[in-house]
Amino acid sequence: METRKPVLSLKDITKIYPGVVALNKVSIDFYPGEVHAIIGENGAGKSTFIKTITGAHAPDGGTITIDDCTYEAMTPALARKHGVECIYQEFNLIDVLSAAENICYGERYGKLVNQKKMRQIAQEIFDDFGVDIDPATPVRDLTPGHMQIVEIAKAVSKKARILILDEPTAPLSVAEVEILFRIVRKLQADGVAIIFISHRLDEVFALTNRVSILRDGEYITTVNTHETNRAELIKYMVGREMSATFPPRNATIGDVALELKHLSGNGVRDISFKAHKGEVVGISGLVGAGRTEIMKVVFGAEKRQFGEVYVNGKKADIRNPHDAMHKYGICLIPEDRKREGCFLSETISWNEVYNVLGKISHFGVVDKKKEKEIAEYYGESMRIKAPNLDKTKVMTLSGGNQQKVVVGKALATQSDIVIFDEPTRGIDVGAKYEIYELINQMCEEGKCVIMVTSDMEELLGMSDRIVVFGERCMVGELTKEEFSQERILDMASTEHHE
Amino acid sequence: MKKNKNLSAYLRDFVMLIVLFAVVAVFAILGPVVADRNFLAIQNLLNILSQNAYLIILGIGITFIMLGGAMDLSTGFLISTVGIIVALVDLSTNFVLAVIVGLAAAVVLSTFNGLMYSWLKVFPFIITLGTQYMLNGATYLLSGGQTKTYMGLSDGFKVLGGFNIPFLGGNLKSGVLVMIVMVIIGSFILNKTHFGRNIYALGSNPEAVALSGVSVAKMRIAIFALAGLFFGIAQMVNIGRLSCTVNNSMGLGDEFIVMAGCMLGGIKMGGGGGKMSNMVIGVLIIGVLNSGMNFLNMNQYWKYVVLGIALLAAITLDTMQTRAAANAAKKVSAPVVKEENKE
Repeated sequence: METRKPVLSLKDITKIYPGVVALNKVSIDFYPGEVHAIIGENGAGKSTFIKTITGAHAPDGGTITIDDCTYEAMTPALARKHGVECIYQEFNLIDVLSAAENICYGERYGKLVNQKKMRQIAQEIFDDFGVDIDPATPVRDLTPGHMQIVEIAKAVSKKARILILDEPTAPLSVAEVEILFRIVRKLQADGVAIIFISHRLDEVFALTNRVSILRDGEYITTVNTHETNRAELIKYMVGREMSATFPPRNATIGDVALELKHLSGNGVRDISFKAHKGEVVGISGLVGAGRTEIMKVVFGAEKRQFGEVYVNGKKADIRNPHDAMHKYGICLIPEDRKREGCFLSETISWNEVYNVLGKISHFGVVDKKKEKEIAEYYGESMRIKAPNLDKTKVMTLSGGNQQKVVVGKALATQSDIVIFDEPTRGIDVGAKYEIYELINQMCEEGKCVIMVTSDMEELLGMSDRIVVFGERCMVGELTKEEFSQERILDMASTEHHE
Repeated sequence: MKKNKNLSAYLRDFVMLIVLFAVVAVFAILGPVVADRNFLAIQNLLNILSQNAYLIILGIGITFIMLGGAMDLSTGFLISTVGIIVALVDLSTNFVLAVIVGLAAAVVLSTFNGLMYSWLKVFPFIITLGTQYMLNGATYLLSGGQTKTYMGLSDGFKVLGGFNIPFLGGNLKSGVLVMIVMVIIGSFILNKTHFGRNIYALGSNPEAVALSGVSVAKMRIAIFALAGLFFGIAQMVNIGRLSCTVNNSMGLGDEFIVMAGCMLGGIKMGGGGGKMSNMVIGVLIIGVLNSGMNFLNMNQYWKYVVLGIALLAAITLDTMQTRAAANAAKKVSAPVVKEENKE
């Protein structure tokens, strides 16, 4: 294979976002007729890498050589001209049009819309794939698996020579995955270069010829799939040094504060774990594993289907977030602070008291004095840096200070169980350290902290125990002695089809 | 950048006041020239206030709805239906019952909008477009399937809206006092109460409201119900202002004038900010435009053109502001390119 000429070759691709090097001199070649996996943890740079190939954004350095033409940056039109097609996790289909119309979208056969011709083209591709889909079916009536086949058929009809599949198996059932693999192997035999992004290592071994590993924007290596094994790939993916430091914590772990028993709902099933007073329980898993989703069920923001939640040993009937906060003392600091966490166009004080308005109002009228007291207390204990708590709008604050406002807003409910969803996402190092100190302080006060995080260092550095999620279910629990990056990644990237 | 933003926000409040004075000034200059009359005569200015009092009360309700992230196209037909109901009850029983039934009807009809909105969760434009048609039919069906004018309603209405109060050497209608009281109540609800904060919160970030345990659906229904109460009061004042007569077309089109006023004043379409005082100024600007053009004896079709331009100007202003804010949010500081420490 190495003797053949690569169809696509990326050399020294570098992409820098403000403050982060997303890709650092990444060079990978792709050959016709190979299935080439790109693997890496959350945030390793896989998406950025794909976007460089499809022309969705321009790299800050390096070259892309495709069909002997060398470019400094691709554009979407250029990528298409060279036969690059990408199938994203979210489908790009027009759901009211038929499968055939979607496949032939953008093509013209004669002056008027030629349904017969389009159906014929679609049918030929489907026959070739060996799948039974009626080309006349509107896309919205298809299953996710069939939608994906329509996407691939669309790419094939555009004469794709480089096909990128971004986590293609995530929405599919086992049977559908089989069909997808069959189609991929067929395209491979036709000489298409296939770039396969997946975090399911089993699939990487089942399907691909070569694997390239990215880690924190760095290119690690490329290996032949049949010459490697699971343990080696995991080692490549996680082989990072722990650099961040974490403040010391001096908390005593007490009784069980929160217990989930077979909790299911919001698309996630059978989650059971205990969290104690004074303890940080880290929740780990790949993006889309259902961590945020189940926390919303605990918090009452989404419906519980099966299972129970116990608070301080007693069964809790949490029907909505109001129950969670005011009856059971559970607060949630959401992942997306701008969308779910705070009111950007209002002031800091306004935000801090929002959850406790009922407590500081007399006959519905807000007590300004109490509002000031609460805002000042949390402003100070959260160390929010702002000129004036009463006048400064949250939107003018830095990410770290916004996060502190959200934390203060949640803590104002005086909850003893604090659920953090990505506590330090998008904030700078100094602010991160301060958030860690706050978490420690909470534990020392005897609060129970549940921390959902995709940041491996944070997970290992802050947790007393780690619960690992697979795909929309729980795959295990690790005690502090058992912690290791390899262990967690191995557990999280195992296939879990029902 | 932050300083500029605050400055421009202050300036904006100020700008609308300047626009109001500018419009008054234009008519003050044109008045003697074109129509040989003094626009600034006390009585004329008091008339403008008296004529717009009920629109401002309507505006309080519309402000609640708009700040909460919704809109209401049906207000005009809603108050015309309420007007007919009030007339029928008043003429067959008495004033007090008419007021109670009228206010109840206004609250119920507006709550229906809120219920449909909460239940279907579609943008209220569509829902209130539907109820607008229903109410359009209702107002004529209630008056026996034809256009009808009811005269000689109780004098109580005159006290509410049409009573002349001597003021600064002229006469001010009692509706202005009702309006002032209502604006104070409305501002109090909006700025001092728990409920008022939730209105702002809902318009600014409904997801965060839901996650804080407040029922978004109940809030929406409550906002429409409260707005309905103000709509009802507005129509009572309007009846008094028009010498205690009611007809089917009373209030039609007012929703657009008031919405335009709200937007001119800086109440954002789809929620996210604005003040009660802004709405008052906005509605007054349109009121002054309207009566100023009457004052100059302008052809009424020209009036439509000018009001249309004012509405478009208000929407443009609103959009430009949102866009400027969006653009400002997209701006990033210059990237710091770190020297790579690895080879």
